[in-house]
Amino acid sequence: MTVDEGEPFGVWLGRQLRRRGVSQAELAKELDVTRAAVSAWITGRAEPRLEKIELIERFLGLSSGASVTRAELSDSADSLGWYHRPAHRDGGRELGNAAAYAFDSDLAVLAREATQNSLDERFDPERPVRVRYVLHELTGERLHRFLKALHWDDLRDHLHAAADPLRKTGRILRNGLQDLAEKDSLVLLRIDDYNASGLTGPEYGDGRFAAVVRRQLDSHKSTTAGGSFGLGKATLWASSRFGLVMMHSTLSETYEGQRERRLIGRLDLPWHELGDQQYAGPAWLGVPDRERDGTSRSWWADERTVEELYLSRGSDEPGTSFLVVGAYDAATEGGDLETMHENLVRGVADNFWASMIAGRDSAPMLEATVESLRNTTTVRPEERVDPHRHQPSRSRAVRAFLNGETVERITDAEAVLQKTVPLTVPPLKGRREAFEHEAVLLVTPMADGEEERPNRLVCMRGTRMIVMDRAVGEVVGTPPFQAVLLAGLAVGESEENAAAEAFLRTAEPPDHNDWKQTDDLTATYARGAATRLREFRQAMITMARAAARPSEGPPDEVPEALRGLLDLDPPQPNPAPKHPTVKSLTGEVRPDGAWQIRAVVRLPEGVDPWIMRPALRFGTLSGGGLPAGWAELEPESGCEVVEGRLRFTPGARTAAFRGVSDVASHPVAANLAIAEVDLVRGESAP
Amino acid sequence: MKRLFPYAVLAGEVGLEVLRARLDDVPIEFSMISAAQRTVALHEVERERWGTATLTVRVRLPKRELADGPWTNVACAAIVSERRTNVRAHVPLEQDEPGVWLGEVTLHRERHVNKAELIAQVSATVDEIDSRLIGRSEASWTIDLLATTPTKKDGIRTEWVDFGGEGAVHLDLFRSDPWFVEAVGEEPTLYLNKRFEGIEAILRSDRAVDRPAQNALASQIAQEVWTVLFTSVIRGLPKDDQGRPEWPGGWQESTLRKMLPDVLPDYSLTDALAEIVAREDGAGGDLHARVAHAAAVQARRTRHLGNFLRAFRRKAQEEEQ
Amino acid sequence: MISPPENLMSLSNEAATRHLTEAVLQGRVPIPAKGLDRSVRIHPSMEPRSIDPIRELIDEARKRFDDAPTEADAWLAPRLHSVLRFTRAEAADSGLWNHLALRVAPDHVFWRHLGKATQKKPVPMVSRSRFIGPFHTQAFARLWWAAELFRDGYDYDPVVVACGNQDVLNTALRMSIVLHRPTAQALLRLVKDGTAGAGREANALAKAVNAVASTLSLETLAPDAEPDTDAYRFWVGGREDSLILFDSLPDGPDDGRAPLDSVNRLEGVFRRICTEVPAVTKSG
Repeated sequence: MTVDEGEPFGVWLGRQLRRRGVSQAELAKELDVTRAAVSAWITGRAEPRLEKIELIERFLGLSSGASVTRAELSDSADSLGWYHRPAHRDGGRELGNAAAYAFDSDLAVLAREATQNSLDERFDPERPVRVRYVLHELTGERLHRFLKALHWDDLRDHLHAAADPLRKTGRILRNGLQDLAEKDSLVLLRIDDYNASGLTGPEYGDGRFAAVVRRQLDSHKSTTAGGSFGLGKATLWASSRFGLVMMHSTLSETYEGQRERRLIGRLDLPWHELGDQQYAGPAWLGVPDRERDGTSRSWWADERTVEELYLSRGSDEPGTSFLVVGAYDAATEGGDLETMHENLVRGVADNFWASMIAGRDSAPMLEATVESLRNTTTVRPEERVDPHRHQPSRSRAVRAFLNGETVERITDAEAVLQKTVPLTVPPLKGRREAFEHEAVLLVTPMADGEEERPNRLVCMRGTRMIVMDRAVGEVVGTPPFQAVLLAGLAVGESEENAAAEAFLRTAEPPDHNDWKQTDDLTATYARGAATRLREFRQAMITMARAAARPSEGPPDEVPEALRGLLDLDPPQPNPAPKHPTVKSLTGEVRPDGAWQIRAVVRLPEGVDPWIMRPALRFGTLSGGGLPAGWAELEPESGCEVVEGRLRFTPGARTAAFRGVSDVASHPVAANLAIAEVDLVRGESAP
Repeated sequence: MKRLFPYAVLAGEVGLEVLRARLDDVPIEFSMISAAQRTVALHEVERERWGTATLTVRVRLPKRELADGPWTNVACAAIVSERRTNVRAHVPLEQDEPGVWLGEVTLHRERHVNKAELIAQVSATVDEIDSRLIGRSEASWTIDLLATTPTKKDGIRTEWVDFGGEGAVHLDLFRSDPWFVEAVGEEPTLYLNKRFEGIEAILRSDRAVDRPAQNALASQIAQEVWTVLFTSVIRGLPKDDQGRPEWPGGWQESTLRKMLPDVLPDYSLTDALAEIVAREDGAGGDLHARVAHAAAVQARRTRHLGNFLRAFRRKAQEEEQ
Repeated sequence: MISPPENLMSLSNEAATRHLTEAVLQGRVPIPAKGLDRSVRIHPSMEPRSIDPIRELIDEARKRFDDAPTEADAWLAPRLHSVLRFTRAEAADSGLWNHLALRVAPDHVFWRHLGKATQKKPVPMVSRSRFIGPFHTQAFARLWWAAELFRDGYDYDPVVVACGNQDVLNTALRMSIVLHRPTAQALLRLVKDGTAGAGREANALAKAVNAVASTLSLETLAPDAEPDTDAYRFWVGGREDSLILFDSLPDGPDDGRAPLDSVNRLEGVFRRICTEVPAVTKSG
């Protein structure tokens, strides 16, 4: 246990009482002092005498001296339980988590929102935030142990009651319950982040914890970005068929003197009725808070409970683990682990490739992995999401920029050209000076085999989230390329870059997907801001086209109309020629050195029977093949052998024959050359 | 024709790319390298005098197939060749990572004249025999020393010339012709007569109304080109020591391969070649008519003439009204 | 008699073809020199060079091999190579060869390549392809390219062997296997020592190697060294200062010899092929 130096005794005592669910009056009675005395201790106006302290320790079940070290009482698992919020007295019904409706519960979307939250909550800005996705399917004994730890018995009836088949959420819920019962299997998705703030702050007031656990439509705004733990967190609940998410957080700053193993669960059901009781829907798993009518609050769990709930974290670094219970992918209506795994990888790669790029001397902002298990079996081992694999060209462009390896002329399939795109940042209202921000434009040839659309320009600022993905258009005579525009703080740390970053952020609509005139912009910046943005948008496309364009050569001599008609390129072979052809050839060299082959012949329609000589040749490096003879020639179907030639049955469309070469006629040993078989007209072999 | 190897060869694709090129150590624009067209253009304007061109090439092999197959001592090489200068340079590549091979290929200006071909080739020990060929790149790259843009120009050379002008002595005889086809030597050439009124205007026009006439004219020119080429090729076919015709290589072979299937559709290419020579020597019969047909197919006469007639009639009707 | 030109020029294929009528090929009418001269041009990248040393060689060959023109090839090839000093890019220009054959030394072409009278063609004539034709057929190009492809660095000895065997000249020269110098040198060793000395044997061996090369990477098995192009250029530059000796072989460009190890290895492979292939041994 950590000793929180300097914590007043009273604060410690107040917390222990709350956690035990003991009121000040009860303690007063037990110690035989007045309530006012206890109150004075807790508020720090007085301190108890040593003997009273010993009594307090004994009463709380703590060892002697615990109060000096400010030791903590572990929450016992026995007191854990679900608290279901009663329905509003006014009869109002909520039919599920409203925020969850704003999102498709597609795992790629979940990956985007959850990872964004982790990025926004990065703790040490010098190191990457690490995000780890673990898909874990449980069956049999393991599943039952997990459900027990989850106090599933307290939930089951509520879940069934809320599974109204007439509503979408109800149907998903019902299917989830059905699968769980019939297939005896449950998919857990755990999302861990490390080097993140963790769910800090008090139970109910302001802070990250309350923003996530207590308020669904709240956007707990920190300074770095919009939407930190905002609406996006709802995708966590939307990805659970039960609307059930467990949380385990290691805090970056202590709360109640503690940092590790802060746990709570939250269930989001629609309004439902059970017995004669009506429930609003939300429920929390935690220890009862006596001061709030038995509402569940988070608890400081022991390691065993954490393990039983599949919430163990890999290190004591701050951050949070979210466990989506009954995870599913709406995009694939359930989906197998492999598909879900792929969707997660894709979701992270598509949205955060830029944040995951490391320069030679700079760490990436983000590292992410995805892993899939079934009970104790690995389905897909932990896989680091590699931006260079998913977005090879753009990743190469950003890395070259971070490493200062950009060039002024593209001479290489992997070269990255760097240009400057000017952005005139207008003054804030009431100030005078506008200034010119130099945004960075990167252009690079598209990687071989890349699946992205070619000739696009993606724009980003400090967060390296893609704000816009714009078409540049094909530039004639240029290989396909990709372009990246870095603006604001993405260019580097400076006062001006920060000002440009602020300007562009103001120009983003709530979806953060454009730079245009917004109300905020009109209110904050001097006139002309919209024009400056328009110029900027135009300049970046013009520059990208210019950068991709090759230097001009002399005009072509060949008139366009003639070009296609004078082509010497070899023609496509006719798949249905009007003469017999060998369609398939198989065979091997026998131990005696002769080729033994089987050939299938395709025959065109014809009136007269085709008579062809099967020509065996040994291939050469240059020039025609060298003829060799047959020792045996045997019809198999659709033909007969007449004097070394094949006479095909009239009307037949395929035929097959076998042959053995004559070793004495071989121009070289059979195993040293390629055998070629062809059907020729004309007389028998020379 | 089907082929059989007497040992296991790769079924998977051998991919070849050119990553960058330098002329005398100075990089050329990457836009002169086209992966889509598999072409490198080495002619930079204002940089006509250079000694060596160095290309960085990368080859990708079917990694899994190689690992599971019977091959050992796998080696990969790039081969640059140009038929006209009898150059065939074999450059061993180095394995960069499993399945990926890298190397630099050098072309010397004085050992090349026009277009070099670049391929990749894979060899390995199979059945205890060393250095057997087990794969090569599907499609070759063209290193075009004279092109300024990396577009595959496997077309017949076309030049605008004033047939009566200075330096066109060889065309003086045809000064009143609209065009002339020369089908001898390494490269056939179509000369278009600048002096012939209207031809340049129509062929270079980008007006939509001129399109039908432009295409019909182009088609007529093309038909004549192909006829001349074909006739010229079959006259000078090389023969092997048994007196049978051989594939001549170069543009001559391309012409034959393009046209023979339309000249003698019910003959395989090899048979058609022999038959053409036989007919050329003896009673020709319908050969010339068939050649004219095959040339018209290359020139897309049906479409272009059809469109022209339709447009012409429409215009006549409009004028009547 | 029309005077020969002063310098070596480039004569277009079109003009050459136009003027090579059957009567000309039969020698019944003289080469229409004036008409041809209207179609010559200076080679764009080559310094003007006098035809005198070339003529001198041609005349000497005629003197030495008057009775046996075929044997002139082995004598002429290395010397012609040494006199012309073309780069490969220059040698790829058929205009130069056209000019040589039609204007500089048509007498040599008639002397060396006049065919026999046949029933079909009762008047003997020279095949057109000896004047204008592919590198392996044209009267001078075949000699120059044989010298270029069969020399071992500066050493023209193998050229003499190659050009002393018409089958090597007619068959092997057009196969791409001989573009690999160790292959060419190993083949010539077998020709020289008699293993495949007779024409038909050399022919059969070359064909067998051509077939084997479709499955065996001779270039991987027996690596070649990259030719020293600077040395070649230096040699080209020394053209003016050299004197062609009639009785001893000149030195070729010192651009590196085929690696001995590689030639040895291929010699072993080819010897094995000789013993295995009936056609090579049978005809011996």
